[in-house]
Amino acid sequence: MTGLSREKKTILPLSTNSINNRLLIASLILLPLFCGILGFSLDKAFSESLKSNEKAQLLLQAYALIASAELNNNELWLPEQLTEDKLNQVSSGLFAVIYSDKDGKAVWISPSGKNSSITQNWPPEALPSGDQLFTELDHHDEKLFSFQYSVTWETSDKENLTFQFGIFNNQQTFNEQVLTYQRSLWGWLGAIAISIIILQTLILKWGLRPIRIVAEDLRSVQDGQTTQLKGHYPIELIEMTSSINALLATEAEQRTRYKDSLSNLAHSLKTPLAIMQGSLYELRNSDFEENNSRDINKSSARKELSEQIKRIDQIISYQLKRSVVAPNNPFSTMINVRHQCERVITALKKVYVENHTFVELEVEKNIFFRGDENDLVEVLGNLLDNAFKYGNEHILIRAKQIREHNLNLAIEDNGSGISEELKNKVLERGERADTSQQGQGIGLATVTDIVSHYSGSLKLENSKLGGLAVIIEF
Amino acid sequence: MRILVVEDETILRQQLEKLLTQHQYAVDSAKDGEDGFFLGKEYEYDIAIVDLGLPKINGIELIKKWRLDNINFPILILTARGNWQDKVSGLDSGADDYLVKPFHLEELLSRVKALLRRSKGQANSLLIFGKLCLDLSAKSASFAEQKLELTAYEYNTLEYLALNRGNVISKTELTEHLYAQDYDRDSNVIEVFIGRLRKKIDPTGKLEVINTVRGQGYRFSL
Repeated sequence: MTGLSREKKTILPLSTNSINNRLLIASLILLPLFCGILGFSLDKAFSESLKSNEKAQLLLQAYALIASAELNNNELWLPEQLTEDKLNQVSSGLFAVIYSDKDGKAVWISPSGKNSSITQNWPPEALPSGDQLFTELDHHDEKLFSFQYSVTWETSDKENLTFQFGIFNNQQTFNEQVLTYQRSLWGWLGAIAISIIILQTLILKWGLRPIRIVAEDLRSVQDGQTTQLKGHYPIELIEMTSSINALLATEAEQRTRYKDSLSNLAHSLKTPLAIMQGSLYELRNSDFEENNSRDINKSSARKELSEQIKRIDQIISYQLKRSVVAPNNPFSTMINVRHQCERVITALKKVYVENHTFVELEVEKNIFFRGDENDLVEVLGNLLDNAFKYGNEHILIRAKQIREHNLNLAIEDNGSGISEELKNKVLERGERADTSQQGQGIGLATVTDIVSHYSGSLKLENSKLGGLAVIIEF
Repeated sequence: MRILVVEDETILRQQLEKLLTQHQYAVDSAKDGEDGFFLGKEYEYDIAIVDLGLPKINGIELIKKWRLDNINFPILILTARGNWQDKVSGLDSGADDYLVKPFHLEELLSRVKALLRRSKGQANSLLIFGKLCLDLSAKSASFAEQKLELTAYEYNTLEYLALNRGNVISKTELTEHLYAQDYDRDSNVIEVFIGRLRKKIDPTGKLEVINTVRGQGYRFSL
């Protein structure tokens, strides 16, 4: 079929040729990005918060140590049992060291730090009195937080002694807290992202439903089940659906007007031709009565006039029939083939009442022709008329659906058929295989024209019944 | 036989009237669907010729209206477009045959004769009753293979009675089928035709071809 493609397109899962897919793809890209940035920010904030907390804890430890330290004979003394239990326990992860700026050696190491080697090489530099420094250390695969605080004591000799207090805490607890937090954070973010995608899919389905309904209604119009979009559409689509309805109404009206105009044109052209034909008949009769029938000039003039009338008539008939063929109309209807066959058969049986023709109709009730009803009736009328005329009172009509919307139609008779040579010739306009019957002589050519307008095919074969089989696919 | 022609084109209508009258038919005509409907309903015609493209009531509607009113005379439609949708619609609505414009008047005549013959249940154009033979196509009659010299009215009277063989036909009915609507009728003329027919067919009066049914009319009895 030519014209607009009416096939329902299959949308590939990730094709961008779908509003639904576009929105989903955008969500699939943006949502992880958003979740990633959000997760990273929260993770960073949490770590910073933990570190800040760690620094505050170490500062408190430093203050506690300074408070418990005593300067005696220019030496710094600390109690054997410290308030913070962790400083007393070996390998607790928290330990403290005090260095003297005077000789650069450790004057005191907490019991918990006896095994740590870092105490030998620390501090990297002495801070001025009152300064503090919070750092992270990576010492022999041991990750530590360190807090350095510089304190100056004034001795009884008015001498200033500066000590560097160093508090260290293992990062293991910190790392475990961060890891637990991260697991929880990413788990929740993932669940939220999946929920959002599922929700969005449902929202999209709901939101785009009116568009799908419009598409389905349009398909019904194309299939000929209805002539207008009659659903209740949301306000955003009403302008569009109203425009489509107006377009459909205008198109139908124009088609009707076009057909009416052609009908009027045919009437106004053919009636004068009928009058001319009648006048010729009267002329011949009056000549006959006046014994002028042997006047060769008059006789040949009449014959010439009659031929020209026939020619004009054939041209008008052929062109009018061509001009009403409507295969490109995207809103053509589904025509029930059996019903139209029965109509044409009933009509022809009236005309050929004396033939007693037996018509076998092998057409199921669910066979449809997608196109214009006039075109199907024209094809059936021409072919069946020929079969009634040239057949020997037995006609077979078969029809089946091919390729979903196309039709295979065969009309066979048990007449004498036609020779191979004539088969091509009779399809030409105005050519008749048998001149014994009255007719326009453009029947098969009209059928060929209609079929070719629908990009179909027509074959003339020998029927099993003995006569001609006309097989059409369109 | 009485024919109704419904055609809006004056010249064509006149041509048809002339042709049919020349061929011994009584013809009434109408120029639009409304007049045609009235005439068809009012008078008993043997056949109607109807153009599909009529003003006021189109041909198809006119035929439907007649058929709804149980008017059953055969109808020949004249169509200009000649497409099958029009032909099928016309035949669907109740017409019996179609003719596409332009047509040869001979073709029209033969269709009219065929329809008339079919409507009277005759399979062919020859009616044979023993020695009496009527050729509906040539509109002639013969007895014992001798052609009868009949006037048009005499032939039409004989044909109508023969086609309604066995039925009693009143003088009024005969008059209606023999004369057009605007003809000055005199029912006594029918008696004259019957008398002449009897003499021409069977001068001896032994055969009793046409019987008189007292107070009712005539019956073809062969």
